[in-house]
Amino acid sequence: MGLTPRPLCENPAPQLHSIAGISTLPATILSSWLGASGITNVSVAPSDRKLVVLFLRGAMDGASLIVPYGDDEYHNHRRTIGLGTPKSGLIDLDGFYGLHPAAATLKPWFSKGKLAAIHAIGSMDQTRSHFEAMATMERGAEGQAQELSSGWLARALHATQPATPSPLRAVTFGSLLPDTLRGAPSPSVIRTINDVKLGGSKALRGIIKQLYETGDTAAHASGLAALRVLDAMDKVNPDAYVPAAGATYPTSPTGETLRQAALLLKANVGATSVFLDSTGWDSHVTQGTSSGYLAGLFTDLAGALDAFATDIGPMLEKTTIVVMTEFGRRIPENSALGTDHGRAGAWLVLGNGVTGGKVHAEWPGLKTEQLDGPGDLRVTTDYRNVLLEISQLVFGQAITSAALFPGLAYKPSGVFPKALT
Amino acid sequence: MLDRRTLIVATAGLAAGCKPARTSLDPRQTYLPDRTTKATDADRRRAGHLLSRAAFGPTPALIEDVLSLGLDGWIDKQLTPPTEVIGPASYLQPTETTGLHFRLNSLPCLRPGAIYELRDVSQPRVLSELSAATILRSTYSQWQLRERMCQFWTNHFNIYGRKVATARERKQADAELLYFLADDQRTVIRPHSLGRFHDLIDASIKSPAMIGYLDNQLNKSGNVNENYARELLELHTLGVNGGYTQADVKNVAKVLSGWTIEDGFLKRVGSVVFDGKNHTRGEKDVLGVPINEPNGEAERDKLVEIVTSHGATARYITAKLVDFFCGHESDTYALKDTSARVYRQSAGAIDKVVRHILLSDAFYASKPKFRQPFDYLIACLRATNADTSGIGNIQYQLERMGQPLHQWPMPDGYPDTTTAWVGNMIPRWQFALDLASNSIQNTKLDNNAVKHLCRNRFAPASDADRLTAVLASPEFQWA
Repeated sequence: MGLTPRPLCENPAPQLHSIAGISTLPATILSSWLGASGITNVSVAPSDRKLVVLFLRGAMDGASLIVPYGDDEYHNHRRTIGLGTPKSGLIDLDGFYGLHPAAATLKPWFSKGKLAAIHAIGSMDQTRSHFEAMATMERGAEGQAQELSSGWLARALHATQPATPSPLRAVTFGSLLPDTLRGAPSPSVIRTINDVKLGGSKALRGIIKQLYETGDTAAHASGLAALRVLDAMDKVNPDAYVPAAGATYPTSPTGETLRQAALLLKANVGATSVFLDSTGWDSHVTQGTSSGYLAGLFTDLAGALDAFATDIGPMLEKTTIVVMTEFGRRIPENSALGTDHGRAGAWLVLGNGVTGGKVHAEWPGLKTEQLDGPGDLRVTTDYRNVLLEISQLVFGQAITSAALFPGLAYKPSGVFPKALT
Repeated sequence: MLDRRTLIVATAGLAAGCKPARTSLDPRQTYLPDRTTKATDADRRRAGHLLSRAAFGPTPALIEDVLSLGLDGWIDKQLTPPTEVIGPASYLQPTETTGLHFRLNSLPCLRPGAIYELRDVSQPRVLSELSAATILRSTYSQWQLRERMCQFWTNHFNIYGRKVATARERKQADAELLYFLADDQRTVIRPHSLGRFHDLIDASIKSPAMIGYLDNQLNKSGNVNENYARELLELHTLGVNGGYTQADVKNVAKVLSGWTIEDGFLKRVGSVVFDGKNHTRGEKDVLGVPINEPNGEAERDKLVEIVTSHGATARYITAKLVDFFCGHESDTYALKDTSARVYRQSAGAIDKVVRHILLSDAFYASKPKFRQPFDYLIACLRATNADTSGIGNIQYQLERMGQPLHQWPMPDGYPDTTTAWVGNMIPRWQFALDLASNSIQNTKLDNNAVKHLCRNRFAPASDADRLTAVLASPEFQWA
């Protein structure tokens, strides 16, 4: 992973400072992180592949985003909240699946072959608890989450850690470290880029640096990483950021985090992996049809992805975006015109390496006897196969199935053929 | 001005101005007072440790308290606080200091009354006043252990104050969730925080805030909604590994079917009522115990009895309490065993379990626990003896650090682990700087307290930088 030619030391040699001393990094090192002209300098080195993970919290209803309208049973199960067929406004994808009309801005990316959907994807774990399912999936565990303490992306980052990684190599937007990055080498948790700065005097930063160099607790390690982040971000001005190519992000939390992710990736400060959350997908009640609650979320999600892909422009050739969720929702609608917790769902993948313009699925069918348990779509693609392929694509072939997903009998998903060449 | 504690901070054997070593900034040792009480250094350290966990951080006066009462004496006193009397005429509570009375009385949203009366107040104002009350009580209450336990249970029974749903059948319940929170604090969390776990569940199951948050107003015969039933078992009582089945979830949901939030013109809007025609009748089997009662109320009572007396609940609840006081990274295996036994033998008496934990060797041997943002913020306010209204920018600081009150969307509550929080240091430093520069509105430092806290550390830096350094130090992030 040749991130930058003159990297910052992961563990800078201890230096002696006066108690009120200034201990900022040499400017030459900073500039190597920032590129000659900071944020405007977008360069895509051949090995500089990037990953954006967007996790839809609460179980997104895959059957409403990528609608299996060609399966007659779908229309029986979703009598009130069904989305019909292309004749009634659904956006046809391949004669069997249709895209929710509220997500229309994704269609051009699909047609251009940049975007693919994966259906009937999910975890082999049977839980229908959000928390357990997220804990299991974010760790990439076979069954119970307790089997693994670290997150899948954390393991991928460890397996391919460059000798001198950027402090911003793995970033999450929010206020908590997600389990996906649990155990990762110095992940940065950023609420908004505007918060990644510290007022006060240079002397103060020097004192804080010295305090955090004197000890070895988790706080010390995190504090030192935070200081390197501050140094790197001193040269970035988020307020001056203008998305490229007229990209317009929705003014929603999802739109805003993707805008900031683009800003960060384009700032060329060594960010490789960005993890983002989107919430509100637990549509038990009145989820709506072509308009309504879920439609609003789809418009927002699609608009944000469209703006992001437009904004990063040529960098999309080196960036893979995966939109995942902990499980899908029950196929029969419930009495409150929503859907309950199910099993398999739908994911989206966009950008580098994706065999796009296609809905990848081994469709399990929607007849009662084909459904799982109380009426759920059967999982025919173990999500770990897709995440393994993405990890190998982004971080390199050195990542083995055994190291990333213990217990996985790898089966090619067909989504990332280039990943395994 | 109000409620000033005198900070008499001794150097406790630390050479002023020496190289900052780990112990010199350890908040558990920073506040060790002068030797006005006969006590060994070990006693003082134990007192500091207790007050870092059972309170929101030590103060010199509290250390003296513990040293004179003894660990058990102080704990027993804290476990029997006077009952809070909250009448509509006055919010004054004679059980707290005048300073806290004064501050709480400036928050009219806390005054009890019919829930619907609050609806004339804007939602942000209600949320702001609720959050302020929590900040104020945690900072200034003399019944620190009760506030700690209120924090624990509020998080255990987490309710997202800003839940919005588009439900056709919601009967306004979702829009009013925020208005129910004050009632939930008053009738569920605060009166039972040190009582019987049974009574806590019994109150929670009757709380319109919880019913609305977990969609039970939509749980009807023939159209069972499992949301509350699942979380009641998974998060509130038995725990995810508590051995219940999907059939148990279904049956709990049937027991709870028909319990809804009353609404309608000229009614006492917002109370939880039973709608028999939406209840699933007949016998239900929950965790191997048949529920076959004459009416919905008796069924619910039986359910509360079954889930709170279950062995898995004893283990799950007490283990969570042990982790709360000792941290996840300490050796507490045996303590969890004995704590579960205390729960079973006392029929779920929370005060007995807490006493057992706080007097155990494992507690005093436990490793430093990483402070959640709220704990960090309150510890900073206490250490600087700051005068705050709890309103305004101080709440924004919490949000920036990642822990705005009543705004965790999921029912599992904020996580209590080091890994969840440790990656977000910068907002803490910025808060320390803002507090140290007196630039947080309605929040002012006590210069004497600050002087004692900083002594002549970090000279010749500016006063604000020196205080920032103390509060932003790695040591101050741990309790």
